[in-house]
Amino acid sequence: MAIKLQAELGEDLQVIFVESQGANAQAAEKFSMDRKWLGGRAMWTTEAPFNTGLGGLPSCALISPTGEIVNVGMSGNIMGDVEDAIEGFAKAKSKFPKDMPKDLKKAWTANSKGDIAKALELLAPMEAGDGDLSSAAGDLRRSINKNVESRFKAITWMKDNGYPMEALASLETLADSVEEHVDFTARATELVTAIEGDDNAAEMDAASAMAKIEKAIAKSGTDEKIAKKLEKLAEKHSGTKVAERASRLAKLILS
Amino acid sequence: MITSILKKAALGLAAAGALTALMSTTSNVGGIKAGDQVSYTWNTPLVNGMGVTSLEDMLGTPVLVEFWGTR
Repeated sequence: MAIKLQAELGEDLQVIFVESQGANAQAAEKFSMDRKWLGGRAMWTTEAPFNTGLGGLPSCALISPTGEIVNVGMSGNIMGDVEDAIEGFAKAKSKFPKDMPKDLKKAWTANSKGDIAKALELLAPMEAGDGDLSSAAGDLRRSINKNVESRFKAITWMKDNGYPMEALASLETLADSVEEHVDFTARATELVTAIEGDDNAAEMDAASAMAKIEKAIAKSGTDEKIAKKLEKLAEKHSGTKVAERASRLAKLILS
Repeated sequence: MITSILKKAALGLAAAGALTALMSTTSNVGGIKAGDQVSYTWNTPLVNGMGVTSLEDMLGTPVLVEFWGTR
């Protein structure tokens, strides 16, 4: 269910799977792969971030966008509540907070619609002033900047770890949001140049080949034939991060 | 400070009231419960981690942590 929610909600939810029966990371990843759980945005770990105090599995906990536990319980019992809560967060995202100064509404709305550059432009003169409005404007600016930095961080990770096409897709969305913001646009442009440049051509070729195999995996799962294709890709595109990824996946399938 | 503004930006008080009604409590002993503020930094990189190293990195987005087993 969690993997389905992640696929449906994309960036509006982050799912983290925690293997809790002592399997090592490779065993956990193979288990996930066999069930076609790999791929997409979900993250995996064998390191629990907290203790639910529950005896059985699977169990889950939903954390709000502010870092507060909303639901905790056995997955089969609380998934309905979890889905309702996530839906509530999505709706709240488009409602201007009642306790925020009304003068911030235009900037807040611009940001919620994805126009980050405009939001920051509107906030600058208010933050330069005095009093509570200045303070609130500063808080909002920092939260917007933090979000942008997180997105740059994720894109850079994708670029550096053999996901250049995914990085480009995320960059396209981010670039639209920060258009006309000089610094952010320069950074986005620099990343696009790095990904699409001649120095990264081998990585992009490998990614293109990998995308075809991943499509086949998503459709039919993994088998020895797929593992052979991955090994062949890894050999042909040796030296790339995508090849490393393909090689690792092939080993998992054959393990 | 940032956490405070994220609360305002991401939720809105009206919806927060509705969400409170949806919170579910459990009979867990010694574990987390609804309303607890959680933070954690991983010692080992998450698989498919996208550069995320801590729960704080994901502030602004709801996070569903699912505990499961391979056996």
